[in-house]
Amino acid sequence: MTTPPPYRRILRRETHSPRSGFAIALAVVLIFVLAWIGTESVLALLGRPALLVAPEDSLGSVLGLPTLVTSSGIIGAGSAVAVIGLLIVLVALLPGRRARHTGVVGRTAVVMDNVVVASALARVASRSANIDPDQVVVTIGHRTVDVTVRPSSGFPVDDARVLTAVQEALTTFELTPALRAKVTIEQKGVVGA
Amino acid sequence: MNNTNRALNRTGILLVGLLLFVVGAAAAVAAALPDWFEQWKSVSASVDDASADVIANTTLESFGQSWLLIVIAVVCLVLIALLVLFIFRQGHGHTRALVTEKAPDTTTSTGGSVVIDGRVAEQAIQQTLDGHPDIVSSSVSTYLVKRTSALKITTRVRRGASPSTVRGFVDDTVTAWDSVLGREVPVLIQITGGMATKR
Repeated sequence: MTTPPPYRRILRRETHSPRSGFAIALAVVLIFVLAWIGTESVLALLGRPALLVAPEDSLGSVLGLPTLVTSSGIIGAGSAVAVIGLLIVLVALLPGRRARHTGVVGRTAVVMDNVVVASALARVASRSANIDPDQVVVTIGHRTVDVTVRPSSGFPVDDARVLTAVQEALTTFELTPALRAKVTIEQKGVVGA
Repeated sequence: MNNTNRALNRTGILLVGLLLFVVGAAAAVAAALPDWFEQWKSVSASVDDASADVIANTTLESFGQSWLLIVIAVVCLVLIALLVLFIFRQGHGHTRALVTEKAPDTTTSTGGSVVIDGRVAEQAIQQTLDGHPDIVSSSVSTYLVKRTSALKITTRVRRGASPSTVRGFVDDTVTAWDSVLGREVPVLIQITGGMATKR
């Protein structure tokens, strides 16, 4: 089934980061640097003492960099700046997925936090194994879900039954992308649960 | 669901990152190769000589300083203004009107228009949703998406609640609201949970 245009845009926006926080942080840093450069220029123009470094001195030290600093120092500092730049480039290019999944689009579109899916699956798994929900840990990835069950000591848990229950629940959730379930029964049981 | 310009965000971040990467990598590589390092030193020295001439040629009689300083200050000010605009451009997209209907033909009607405020839908839907046992709280807001109004229904559900049950209930509520409104607007349901929803 194809998704109607407004829903496609809405769901894409709800499941990916807008990168607003990072962009604002960078903009604020740039604003401070520019404000400093501008202030130094005006102070120099009026013949007042500089805040930190006068423009003429900073130009001199930028141009004098290769003679003032050892080559190994430049290599180190340059590499560090390059790595920071590369990390920032990654922030710009990576999809920035949020921990959410979307459901089937019908009259409405739905997007749910992975926390919600996890706690619902934990309840389903604990019911099928007849244990407390706190004895089940559910980890949700983009395409996988790991269900880890700690049985009550002396009461073995049938992993096939838990898996079936979890898979049935996943079928009713109709998530995109679909989650593949894996059930692990821990060897050590919980005493007194 | 807001209309943050995400492409602009990413482009800006990409440019800053590329600038840092290119400058840092170029400096490191040039310093690592002896031939390039000597070249760099000589270019720096000649630029240093030339810059003294430029500063002397642009000096203002009245100030005794180069007018390039004014240019730098103005450029900084303009860039700061653009960056502030960029920051305040984030978010937005809320709208008040859910439905706006203009009379198609003034000869057969009085030519008025009907506007249904988004808050009508927000309050009606929210009231129904808050009655469901699995829903801790809900909020409804109206957004403008691609020039059409759309509703965003956010529900915080109790721990262990089935998202399909909650979705079914919200869908029923929306369908009931459709028949009241007489038309369908796009609806996004967001199901969230969290620490506060513990039993």
